[in-house]
Amino acid sequence: MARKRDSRPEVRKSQESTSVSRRDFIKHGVAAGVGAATLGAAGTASAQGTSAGGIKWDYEADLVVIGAGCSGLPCAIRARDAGLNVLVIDQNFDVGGKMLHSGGQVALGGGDPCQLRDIAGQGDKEGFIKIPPLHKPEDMAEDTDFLFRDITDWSVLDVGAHAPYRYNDREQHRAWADNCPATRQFLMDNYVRFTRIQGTHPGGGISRARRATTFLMLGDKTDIKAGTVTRQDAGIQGKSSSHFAPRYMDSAAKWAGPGAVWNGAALTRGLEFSAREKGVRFMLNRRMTEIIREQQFSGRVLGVRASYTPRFDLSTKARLESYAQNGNIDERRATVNIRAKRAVMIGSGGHGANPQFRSMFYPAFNEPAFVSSAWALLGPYGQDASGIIAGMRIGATLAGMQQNLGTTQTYHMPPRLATRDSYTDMLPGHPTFQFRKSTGITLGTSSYEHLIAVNQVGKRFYNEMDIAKRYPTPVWPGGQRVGAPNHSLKQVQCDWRNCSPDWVKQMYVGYAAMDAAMAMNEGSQAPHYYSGPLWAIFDRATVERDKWDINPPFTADNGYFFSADTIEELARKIQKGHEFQRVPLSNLAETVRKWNSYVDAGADPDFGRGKDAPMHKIDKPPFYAASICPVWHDSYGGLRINGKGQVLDMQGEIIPGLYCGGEASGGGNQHGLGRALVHGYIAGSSIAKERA
Amino acid sequence: MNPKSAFAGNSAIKNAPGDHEPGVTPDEHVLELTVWDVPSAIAAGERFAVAVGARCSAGCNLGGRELGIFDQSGSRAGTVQLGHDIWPGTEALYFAEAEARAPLAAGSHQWEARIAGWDAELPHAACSFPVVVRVVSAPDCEVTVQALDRETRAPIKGARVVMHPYRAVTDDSGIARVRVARGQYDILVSGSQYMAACASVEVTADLATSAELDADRSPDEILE
Repeated sequence: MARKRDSRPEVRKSQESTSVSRRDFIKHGVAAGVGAATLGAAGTASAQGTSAGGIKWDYEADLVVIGAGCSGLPCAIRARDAGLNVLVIDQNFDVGGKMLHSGGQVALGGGDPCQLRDIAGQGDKEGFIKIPPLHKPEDMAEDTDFLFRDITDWSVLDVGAHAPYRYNDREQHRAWADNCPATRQFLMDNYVRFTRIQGTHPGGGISRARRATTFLMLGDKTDIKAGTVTRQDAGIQGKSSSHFAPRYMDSAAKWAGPGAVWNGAALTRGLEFSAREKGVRFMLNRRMTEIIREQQFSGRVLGVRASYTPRFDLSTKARLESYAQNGNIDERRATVNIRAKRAVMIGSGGHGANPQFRSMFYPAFNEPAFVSSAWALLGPYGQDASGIIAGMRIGATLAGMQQNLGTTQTYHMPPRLATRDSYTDMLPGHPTFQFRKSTGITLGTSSYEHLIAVNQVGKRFYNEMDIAKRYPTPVWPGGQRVGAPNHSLKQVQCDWRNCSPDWVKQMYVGYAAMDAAMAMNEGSQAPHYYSGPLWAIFDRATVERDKWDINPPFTADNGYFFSADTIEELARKIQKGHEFQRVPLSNLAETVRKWNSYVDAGADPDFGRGKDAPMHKIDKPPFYAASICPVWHDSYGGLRINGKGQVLDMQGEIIPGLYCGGEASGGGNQHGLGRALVHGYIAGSSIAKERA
Repeated sequence: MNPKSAFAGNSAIKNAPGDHEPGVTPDEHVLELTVWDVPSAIAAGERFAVAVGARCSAGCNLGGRELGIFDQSGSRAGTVQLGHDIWPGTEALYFAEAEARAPLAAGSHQWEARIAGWDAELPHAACSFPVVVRVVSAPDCEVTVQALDRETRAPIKGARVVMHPYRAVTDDSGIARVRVARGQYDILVSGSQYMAACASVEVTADLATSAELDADRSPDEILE
């Protein structure tokens, strides 16, 4: 029987050590005495008791950015534009972090250049956009004061009666709003192409349309300067992804015009190209393990310690390499110390993949079976809270911890079965597909009428029709669907009627399927009381009726999909073949029989099915089980930062030389990329003004 | 002994069937039955057919083995021999089609499929499987339902139309005809990639109606 797991996988350690690349702006192997002497004037001890004066600095740069994602890359470029020497380290083998697998949708506003372009009815400078604006000018007209009020509006609720804007940090969001227009222009100046404005992304405010999506044009060659990507690199629908884009880039025709394709690859590869072109250096396969400060809780941040974290192809055993490699430093020593002459910027992402950290917010999420989004892409150290923890160890405080709760962008059950990496639909072609092995069976919410969902002991836990429902957060154009009493321009900011009890009673649709799924059950055992895996159970009739493709690459023999002649055999196969199935599904056969009797009776007394969609028996062999994997996607709650992106300590004082942005920082509840990109822009601008 | 559970005293955690089920010696093979394609509504006294399948936990050849269908009183209502082929998509499920005649009384009847065990050579334990036979009065009305895309008005082929216990599927024109007995019904209509729609009707004569379905926009498309 497979060994059952209750902790994160062991990570392969490198045995390799090779010579180090040298560049004039990064000094390799600074002598210990010299390094210590230089630093000794400012302080002599690091956070963990190592004498900072005794540290041998293997590299130094003006700015060390931890994480090549959506806050780290703009920070690096912005600082490089100001003439700083910038080194970006990332635990993964490629740049982009979670941004690379994202949709590339960026909600900014405040009168940003995309809004102004669409208000004026103009196209983009390259002439790619072939469609007229999607919104009326007045739907996009605003200034940064208006945007600031919108994203700190105390009165707005979602349909689960949570307040997504009320608890946003005021100083941080004043700066965020003020920098939105400049950040949009900065991105466009660095090879990022935006579609027409189309609505607003969750957390981006409700009163105006502010979201534009990043795109490239299909062409004969992939050329970031020209704004083109080949069909091969963009991916082929239902068949392949690529090293360039881990997810298929779908048509953006309805937002930009014919030939446009969109997702986070268009954003990531544009920023990456610009960073490399401008001379930003990258040390990949390199995970920050410690931020070094003069004293543990005082003094300036001096640099970072980082360990070698390569990833290897499972078949060839070759090290995985980045898509682009110019500017990479191929450093393979187990540990290096990197001095930051001006600042360290933490852009290491959130805590969604760290069960210990995330269970501080929601105890049920100590269950290690469930991962963060982009699990395969990012590897074992992705979204592991390492930046937050390192900051806390040198005295940083936290903010916005409660903002994880109540938003469906944080944790939910994506409608994608048969893969552990359930948030996205990666296809073969990207080097990390091998770690997930299956794309997953992607369903619409309507398809849940064809299955029953059971917990680790084989019992149903909620009305299946509600499992995949992710209710929207309050965004443009408002209205009851998103929890607002008014629609579009009739929305009134900071108005008590937006959250009056009468209105809440009228609009509330807070489903608790996720909570029921993570509840303790008969298989939850001390001391952890894990809720265990979840399974969609269906049959051949389901596959035929709703036309599910259960063939590879959508499924695989990876422990997340099983087929059997009988339900009893299915239960045995799951227990034997799934790494986190710690107990038998003793109730599964009885659950299916009971379900079939409910279908015969035309009513489901347990969970009320049958009123909202037809019920179907599960009786035609073969029988199937596909994993339902909850995912912790967004991370809210992290290091507290001020309006300049500087990290604050418990006393509210600035930790000199330490900056942070994106999901490693707390105090903001905006889904997606807009928050992090502006953080990176702000931090880079601030660091450029720091004295060396 | 199980580690301390959140539900102490509950007996849910036990060995899976087929490993060492209570009453089954480790050397005895376990038979498992399944029954499918049972009509959702059968007119009183009508003959009907169901598919039955049997599997041995060790994958033994069950071709030619006899399987019985027994009614609520325990009387044999049908007998069938399993074929020698394996049901498509399975590893060792031997199957056959069994016929029986429905009871005359309307309502749900709890029947059972059974396969006897045997001791020779490799012992196999007997097994049974519940079968619900839903008997209805003879339908006397026809309900015509057309499923349409609300936005495009295009007909939806293959949509499920359920007026419990009656079921039908729409044709190329998006139309399903459901023969039902007079009465009050909820009509549920669902199609692949469409959100289901529901309406209540009282059927007193033939009637025609349409169901306009909204396309199912996935959460990813909305939120990503």
